[in-house]
Amino acid sequence: MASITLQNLVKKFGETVTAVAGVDLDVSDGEFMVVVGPSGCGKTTTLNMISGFEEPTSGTMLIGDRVVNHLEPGDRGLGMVFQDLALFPHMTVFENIAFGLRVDKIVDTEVKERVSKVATTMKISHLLSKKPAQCSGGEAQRVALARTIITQPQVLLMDEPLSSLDAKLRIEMRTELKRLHEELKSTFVYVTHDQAEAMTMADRIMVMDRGYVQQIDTPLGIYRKPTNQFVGTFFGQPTMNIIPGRVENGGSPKFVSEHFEMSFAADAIPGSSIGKEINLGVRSENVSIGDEGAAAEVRLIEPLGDETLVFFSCGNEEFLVAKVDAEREFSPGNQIRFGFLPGGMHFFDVESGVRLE
Amino acid sequence: MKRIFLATLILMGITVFVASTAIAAMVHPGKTVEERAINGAKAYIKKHNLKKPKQTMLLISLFKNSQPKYLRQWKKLTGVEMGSIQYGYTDIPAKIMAEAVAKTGQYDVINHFPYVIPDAVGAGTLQPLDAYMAKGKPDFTGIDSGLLAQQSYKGKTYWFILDGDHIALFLRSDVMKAAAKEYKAKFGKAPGCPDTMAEWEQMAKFFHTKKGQTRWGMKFKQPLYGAQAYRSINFSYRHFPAYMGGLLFDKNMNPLINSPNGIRAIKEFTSIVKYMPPDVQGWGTPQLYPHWGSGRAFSFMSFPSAMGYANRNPKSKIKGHQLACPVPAVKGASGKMVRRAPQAAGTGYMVNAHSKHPELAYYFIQWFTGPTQGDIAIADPAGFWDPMRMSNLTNKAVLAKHTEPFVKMTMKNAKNAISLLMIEGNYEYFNVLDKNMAQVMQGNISAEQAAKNVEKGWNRITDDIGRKEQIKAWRASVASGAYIDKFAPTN
Amino acid sequence: MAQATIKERKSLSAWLAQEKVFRLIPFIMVEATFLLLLAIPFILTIYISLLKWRANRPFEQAYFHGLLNYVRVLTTEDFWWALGRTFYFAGTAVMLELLFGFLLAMLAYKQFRGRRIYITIFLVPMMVVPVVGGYNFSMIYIDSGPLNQILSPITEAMGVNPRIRWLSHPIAAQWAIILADVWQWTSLTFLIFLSGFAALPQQLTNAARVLGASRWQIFWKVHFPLLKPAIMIAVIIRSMEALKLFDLSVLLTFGGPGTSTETIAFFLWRQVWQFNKYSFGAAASILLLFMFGTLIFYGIYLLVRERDIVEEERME
Repeated sequence: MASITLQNLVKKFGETVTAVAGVDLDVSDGEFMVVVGPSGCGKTTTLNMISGFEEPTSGTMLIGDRVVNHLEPGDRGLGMVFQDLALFPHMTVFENIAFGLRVDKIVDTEVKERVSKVATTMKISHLLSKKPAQCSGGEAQRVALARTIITQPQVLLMDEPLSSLDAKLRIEMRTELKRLHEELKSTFVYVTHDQAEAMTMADRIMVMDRGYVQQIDTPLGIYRKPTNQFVGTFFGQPTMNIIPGRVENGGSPKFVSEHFEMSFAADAIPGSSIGKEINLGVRSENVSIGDEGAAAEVRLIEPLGDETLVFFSCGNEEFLVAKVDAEREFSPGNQIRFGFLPGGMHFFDVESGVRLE
Repeated sequence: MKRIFLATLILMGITVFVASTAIAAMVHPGKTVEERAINGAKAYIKKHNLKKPKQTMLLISLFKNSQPKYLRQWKKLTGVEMGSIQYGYTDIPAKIMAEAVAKTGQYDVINHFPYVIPDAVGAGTLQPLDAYMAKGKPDFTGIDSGLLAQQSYKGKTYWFILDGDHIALFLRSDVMKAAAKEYKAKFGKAPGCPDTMAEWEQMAKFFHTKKGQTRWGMKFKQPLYGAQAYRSINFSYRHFPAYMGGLLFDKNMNPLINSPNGIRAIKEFTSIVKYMPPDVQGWGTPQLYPHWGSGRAFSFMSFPSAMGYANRNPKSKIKGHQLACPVPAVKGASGKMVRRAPQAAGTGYMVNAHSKHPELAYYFIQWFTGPTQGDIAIADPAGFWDPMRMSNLTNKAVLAKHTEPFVKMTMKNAKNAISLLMIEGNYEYFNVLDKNMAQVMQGNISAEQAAKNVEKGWNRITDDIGRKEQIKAWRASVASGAYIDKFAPTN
Repeated sequence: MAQATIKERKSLSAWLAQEKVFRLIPFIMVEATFLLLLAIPFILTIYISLLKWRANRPFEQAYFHGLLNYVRVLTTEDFWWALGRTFYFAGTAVMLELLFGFLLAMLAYKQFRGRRIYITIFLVPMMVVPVVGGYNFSMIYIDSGPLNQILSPITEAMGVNPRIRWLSHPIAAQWAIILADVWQWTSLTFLIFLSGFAALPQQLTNAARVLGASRWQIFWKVHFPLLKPAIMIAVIIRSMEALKLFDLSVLLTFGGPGTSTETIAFFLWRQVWQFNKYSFGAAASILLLFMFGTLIFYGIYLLVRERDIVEEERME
């Protein structure tokens, strides 16, 4: 069991390309850490540095209390699951799982014992004599996991392992991975571009963009209190409404956008935003539709079953979205009034996107 | 009664007269062979009303620098434009056989060695020349019988010779002069042309000198090999008959090689190799001639052109240091000492049976090989035609090119000239012999084993082609004197 | 009359334009090409192989001979010698070509400065016309020539006469031919292996590294098995060619010294074009076709089997 510490980790490719621009991260022992961000954000490069496939340009990496910067991947006590699983096509499932033991020249009887044990855990005992090509997507996933955990690594690295699965299987595997994490109690570092995966699985999430760390927090912390507009819009489905406008204080604070105005209680608005051009971020569940507030027209309805997404506009083509109870019925063309729940508003600086408190 | 008798006499007289004038009219006018050929060609063109006649010659590429000027001359004389297509001599037999199937007539005259005749005649590619000869009256006087016999096959004439290419032996006169004393002290006679193959080997042994040695006051920076000769596949068969000293088959086509005489021949043929350069089994003319010219061998059994090559080549180190000898004798099948000089190549001319105008092609051959025109070719410095007529002995141009001692020697040697095997499938017979000689020289099999192998291989070929027909052809060629030797009376 | 022709033409084009006819046109072309190019010569060869025909007799005199030609071929010692020699040459040459091609590809597949230039240089021998290559080697192999000069420090140190008679010593000549073939065709195996190496998925290497495999283990347990299809391709392509070895033995040694470099192709050439044994040659080539065909099909079977496994995996 081990913690992971990254100190000001930088990776440059050549002179001009900075893939990772100084990451500081502490993953505590047994934690499930998800690194998330859009493609090109540096998350995979960070993972590759931890695994040892890439050498950092500067900075320090520790696993436990050992500096691992110059250790071979195989000597870092890691396990890794790859995006395309990277099962060895010419070996049987048994030999794939046993690979880590074979290279250590462990005696045959022990290999058999440990493989069959891990195969039972992963429910793939019936596949052992097959070739990877003969396994389904979910089975192959389990084989890859089995191959990784058989050497009992202190740290498990996963590089978008679920991306090749279909939607249903992906959701099932999320639960499976969570369960595995509970059982193994080892440290997980999980890279994904899928915010939902991050939300559902992580103990903590590190959000990256363009090589920089944007926020490190628990899933709910990130959801509720995004440090900037990028994080705010990256998480949540549907995407957070962003309304450019101005906060004015003529007695009571007022938000003025091009198409509507809205007044709020004084404590609902951070002081630093007053008198500034801002972007107002509101998640759909924090938009209320009722008798009060600004006037708008319903343009589009997306029923989700238990809830319904209502897209509306205030005379322009920028739609806002609200999430309402499925019982409430709307249809395009309905004239409505809308408002924002006081605790559900995020104020972002127009220039920097930083959250205003 | 008397009247009738007289009238009959007169009638007969008239008939004889008419007939004789008719016969006389069939021979083309002209004092010389060449004139008759030219007139024959002109008459043919006139009779067939040919406009700008064109013919083609399939030419051994070796002659590409010497033949074309004679083709131009022929055009001036007769108006016949004779082009040429050139191939290496190893490729031409296949071209001839392909013509047997394709029958294109694209070659009119074919230039090659006599050994292609049996297969080509079998396939029907060669035109018998006898009918044309009756009109053109060629003249072969002064050509020795062994050479002349090669012109015909199964009683018909197919080929006109222009090359006395029978093998000869050349020795280094400078080395012999230096070593004369020592040699005489040892063998009781001065070194010179050896009488027998055994004596040649004895000389090879004596003169064989390692690199760096000083002998007879000569310092040898290079090794001096006692001998060099053709011992590779495709060449051994051209020399072996000199060692056989008799026929290769009896009158029923049973091979005579698996006999005490045959085994002796194989042993003598292969044992001298130890005094030859180690590479000799892989060598053909392009290696042997320069090696001889470089002065690294004492003796060379070869085509006769080797001497001219070593005298004229600017890089040669042995100019004027060669002694030309006839082929040494062996104790042949008859038990007597005989000299046999196989005609190892020998260029000559044939007419394609599928030619549109075979008779016209024939006149070119007659002209070009005629006694005067032929001697011009033999004297041509760029050519590879070797002396073969008695007239060459007095022809100044020929003597200038070939030197008098050589011409004298080769004309003497021509008395012993014999043909190689003139029966169908001969290349296959040759190959069996070559392969087994190679095996003996490499030390893989004994001479006795080789004799057995060759006997078996030859019988197999004879049976495959048809023993009956082979016997017929073989007897005819023996009878023609092509091999000098005749069947032993006991056979 | 003219009208009738136009009408006919119209109906012909109409007939051709019919869907079921039109669809067949490509097949007809393929079949016709097949017939003309392959089937007819093949059937003719079989026919000739059943005749008794030497070119020194007119074809009109050829007669039916049954399978006797085949018996003759199979009982000809030289045929078997030449065949054995050919397998020896092909086997040795292809093995060396695989080895050198593999090593070169291993060195060249990683990125380094001037890699492209090296690769281009390695590929040059393959582009050389075989006849030219053979001629060059006949120069190189001269016993006082460049090869022996280069080798002389080694040969002299070993106490061997440095003037190795490459073309006239029976065993050296065999190696001369093998080496010339290796020089020319290592390029091809190099190219095949280079693409094989380039196609190796990086992730598999990474997976093995993370599992603690050493470079040696990665090579033998992961890379090598994955390169098997490339190896099979190289073996089959090269063997097919090497078994037909002809030009080098003609150009360098003309089958000699003795018969030590007479390959089966050379043997056939001599039987047909020197000895005029057309039907014997036809029978021998049919027999060889079956022998080599069986070998090659077995090779292709192995290749396809290997490929299926790998390709199924890729489709995942």
